Amino acid sequence: MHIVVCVKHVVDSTEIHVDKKTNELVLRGLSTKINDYDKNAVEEAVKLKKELGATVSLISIGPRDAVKTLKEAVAMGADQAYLLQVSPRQQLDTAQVSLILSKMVEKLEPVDLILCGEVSEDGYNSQTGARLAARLGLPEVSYVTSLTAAEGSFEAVSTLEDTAETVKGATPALLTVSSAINVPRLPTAIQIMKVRSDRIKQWKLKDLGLEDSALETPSVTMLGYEIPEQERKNIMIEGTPAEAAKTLVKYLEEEKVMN
Amino acid sequence: MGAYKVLIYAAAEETAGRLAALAAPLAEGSIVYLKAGSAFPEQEAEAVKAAAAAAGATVLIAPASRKGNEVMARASQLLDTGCVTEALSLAAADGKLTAKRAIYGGIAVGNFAFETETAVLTVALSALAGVETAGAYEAAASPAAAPPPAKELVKTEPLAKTVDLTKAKRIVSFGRGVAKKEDISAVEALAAKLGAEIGCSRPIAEELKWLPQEHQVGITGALVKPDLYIALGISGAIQHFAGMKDSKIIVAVNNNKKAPIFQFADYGIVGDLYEVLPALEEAIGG
Ligand SMILES: Cc1cc2nc3c(=O)[nH]c(=O)nc-3n(C[C@H](O)[C@H](O)[C@H](O)COP(=O)(O)OP(=O)(O)OC[C@H]3O[C@@H](n4cnc5c(N)ncnc54)[C@H](O)[C@@H]3O)c2cc1C
Repeated sequence: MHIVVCVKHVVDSTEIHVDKKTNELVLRGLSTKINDYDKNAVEEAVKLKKELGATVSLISIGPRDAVKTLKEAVAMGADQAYLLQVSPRQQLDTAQVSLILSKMVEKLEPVDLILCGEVSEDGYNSQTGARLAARLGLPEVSYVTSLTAAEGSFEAVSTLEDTAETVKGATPALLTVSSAINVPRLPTAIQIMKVRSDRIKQWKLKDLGLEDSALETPSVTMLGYEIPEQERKNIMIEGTPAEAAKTLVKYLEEEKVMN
Repeated sequence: MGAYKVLIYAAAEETAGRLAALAAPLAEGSIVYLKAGSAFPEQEAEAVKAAAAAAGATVLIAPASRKGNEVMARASQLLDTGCVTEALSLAAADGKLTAKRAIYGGIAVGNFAFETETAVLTVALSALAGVETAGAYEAAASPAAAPPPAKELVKTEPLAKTVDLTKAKRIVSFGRGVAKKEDISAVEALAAKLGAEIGCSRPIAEELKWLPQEHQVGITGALVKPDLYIALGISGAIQHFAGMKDSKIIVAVNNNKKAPIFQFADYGIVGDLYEVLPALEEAIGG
């Protein structure tokens, strides 16, 4: 069984903040890491590897720095990783990303299962998995919170807003996983360091039979962004805990939110 | 009147009405409604594609439910067109359709332009809730069913939820500032006095597993909008904020006066929650 996991290298979304002077997002100089939800996908693949003796390949599109993310994910137990390197400033939309990923998957065939995180913590588009499945003509199950697989088949629970659907299917198939599916293992710094560079292979667009124009024609572009106004009262209540508590209750009664 | 032929894809007619009201200013001629079926997303996406072709639609809109996002993302790929999920609003500018959506977990709102002739969108459920249901539409001719994918639905079960925070009027929520699982009882006591539900930050549910997932507030948890949200020992990470920013009144108790949560709060108390909690319970009386 060959499992391919899509891994995104992202800026740590917990560090993004607004520069109060310019009212702009501070995105530079932040640490970068593996997309949180992709860790769950890697973990699930590694579990299946242990259970079924599967081979796990990681694929990613990103800047040179993404090697770091892939090393971390290989250290979790994957066999090898493939990086399509792009400039750090390169913006790609979900149509472009899924095109490149589909060519990477085709190059790695035969592939039985493709796992993606349900969403990425930077873009939050929730599209790449579904688009990739459509491009490859594969069935998909999204928002997977539990998975079992055997040679040729899988069974997955997809958790939606109010229901959980259990779906059985034949491989090849693509699944997107939710963070509730598992608790990803944390590789140690030594394990990450020990991952040899030759386990991470670099591909160019032409290796995938794609032209540079694949990066040039987005279907959606961001024109700009705004920082939503925070209309909060920001009243800090002073005093001992007992005094502060009394003052707060008085305010909340005035606001008519106590009952 | 606008310049786009609009197709709506939704299960409930009420939702279709809201989507139609939202799209009306952009629509040319009547808006077409394809009722979402219960087939697999692969088949539903084919149905959306076929219905769009039959109607000549260039703007396709659905609610941003999990199924809605999945079907529309797949349909946009089948149509080889741009897609914006979780849109908050849409407009037309300089001959292009544009849509706003939250980026980076909600810290900012991005404005996106479609570069493709056809635009596929899902609208955030929070944005839809505020729209009137009276938008007018016509039923689309139902397309021929696409062949089923190589899978079968074994069963569908309702989620056993002990609480639905999205409907709560008051929420007392706590984070890592609560040091021990036993201490949750003090939070529960305050919640009981206020007639509030209990919420929590992600580490409490996902890492410590002190509470089931449905208590988690945030981008990977519940998006709540109570009259009163009390955050105890929660730092106020953007991913948490994204889930509670629509609360009417936000109270924060935190022993670090620099905690980001205070920027999002109406009322803040800098102090040890272990001292403030009993004081609050006492002050509420009754
Ligand atoms: C992709 C992604 C998705 C995420 N989704 C969510 C989500 O849905 N919901 C969510 O909540 N988080 C989410 N997070 C995590 C989020 O970034 C924060 O890590 C998390 O919210 C922090 O939880 P916390 O505030 O409880 O803990 P901490 O950040 O550790 O904060 C604890 C706070 O308690 C205060 N404190 C400590 N002791 C006391 C005391 N005795 N009295 C008073 N105050 C005290 C501290 O000053 C501190 O501010 C997500 C992260 C990622 C990357």
